[in-house]
Amino acid sequence: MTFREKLAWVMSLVLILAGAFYAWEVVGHGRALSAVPPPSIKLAVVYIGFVIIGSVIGASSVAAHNTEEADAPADERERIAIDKAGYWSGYVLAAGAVAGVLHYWTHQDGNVMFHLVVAALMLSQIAEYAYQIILFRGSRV
Amino acid sequence: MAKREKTVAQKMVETMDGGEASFQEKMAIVSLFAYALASLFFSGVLWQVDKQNGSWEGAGVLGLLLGMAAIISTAHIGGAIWAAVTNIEDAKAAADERDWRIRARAGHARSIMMSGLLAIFVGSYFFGATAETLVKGMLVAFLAGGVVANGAKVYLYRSGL
Repeated sequence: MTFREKLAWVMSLVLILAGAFYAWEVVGHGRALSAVPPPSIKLAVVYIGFVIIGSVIGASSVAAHNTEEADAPADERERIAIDKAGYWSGYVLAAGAVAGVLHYWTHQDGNVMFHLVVAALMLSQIAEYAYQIILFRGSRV
Repeated sequence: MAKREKTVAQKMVETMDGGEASFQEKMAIVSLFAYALASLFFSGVLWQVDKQNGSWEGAGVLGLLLGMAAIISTAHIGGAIWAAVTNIEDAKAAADERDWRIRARAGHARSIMMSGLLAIFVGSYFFGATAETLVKGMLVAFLAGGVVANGAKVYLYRSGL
C-alpha cells in the first residue's frame, strides 16, 4: 500500500468517526426537542477539533512509517486519482446542497437546510477519500 | 488515403502553439462565458432587490433561479452549436484522455472552491446569518465553482498538461 493510499484510509476513518459522532449528537438533540435542532457551535467546534487532531495524528503516524514516500510529490497516476476523486466528490456536495435548497424552498426551514449542507460537506469529503482508495486499488486511472 | 487521427500529444502541442481550439476547449470557453453571464445576472438581481425592499422571498427566488438556468442553458446550447459547426470532426469524436485529465483537474478545483465557500456561509449561519443568506451563499458557490472550473479548463488546454 502506498503512502497516499494509507493516508486516504486514515482520513476516511477520521472523517467517518467524526461525522458519525456529529450525526449521533444532532439526532439525539433532535429527539430530545422533538424538532429539528438549531445549529450548535459547540458541536461544530468539537467536530472540527476531532478532525484536526485525528488527521494530524493519523497523517504523522503514516508519514513516520513511510518517510521517503511522504517527502516525494504525488506521481502521475496518483495525481490523476486525486483529481478524479475530487471531481466526483463535487457531485456529492452539489446533490446535498440542491436537496437543502429544495427542502428550504418547500418547507421554509433553515435549520434542515443547514444540516443537509453540513452533511453534504462531510459526505463529499468521505466520498473523495473513498474514491481515491478505489482508484488506487483498481486499474481505472 | 484515409485521414490519420491526431494523437493526444499532437493536439496538445497544437493548442500550446496557439492553434485552433478543439471542440472541448470551445465548450469550456462557452461555459465560462455562460457562468460569467449568470453571475452578472445574479449580482444585478440582488442589487435591485436590495435597492427596492431588501427581501427576495416568494416568486423572486423562483425568478432568479429560472433566469440563471435560462442563461446557462441557452448559452450552452448556442455555444455547443457554434463549437460543433466550427469543429465538426472533433464534435463527433469522444473526449480523449487529455480532455478527461483536464476535466478531472478542473472539477477538483470546482469542488475545492465550492466546499470553501459553502463552509464560509455555513459558518456565518452560526453567527446569526439568515437562511436566505445561506441560499444566496450556495448560489454564489455554484456560480463561482462554474467560473473556476471552466477558467481552469481554458487555462489547462493552453498549458502543457
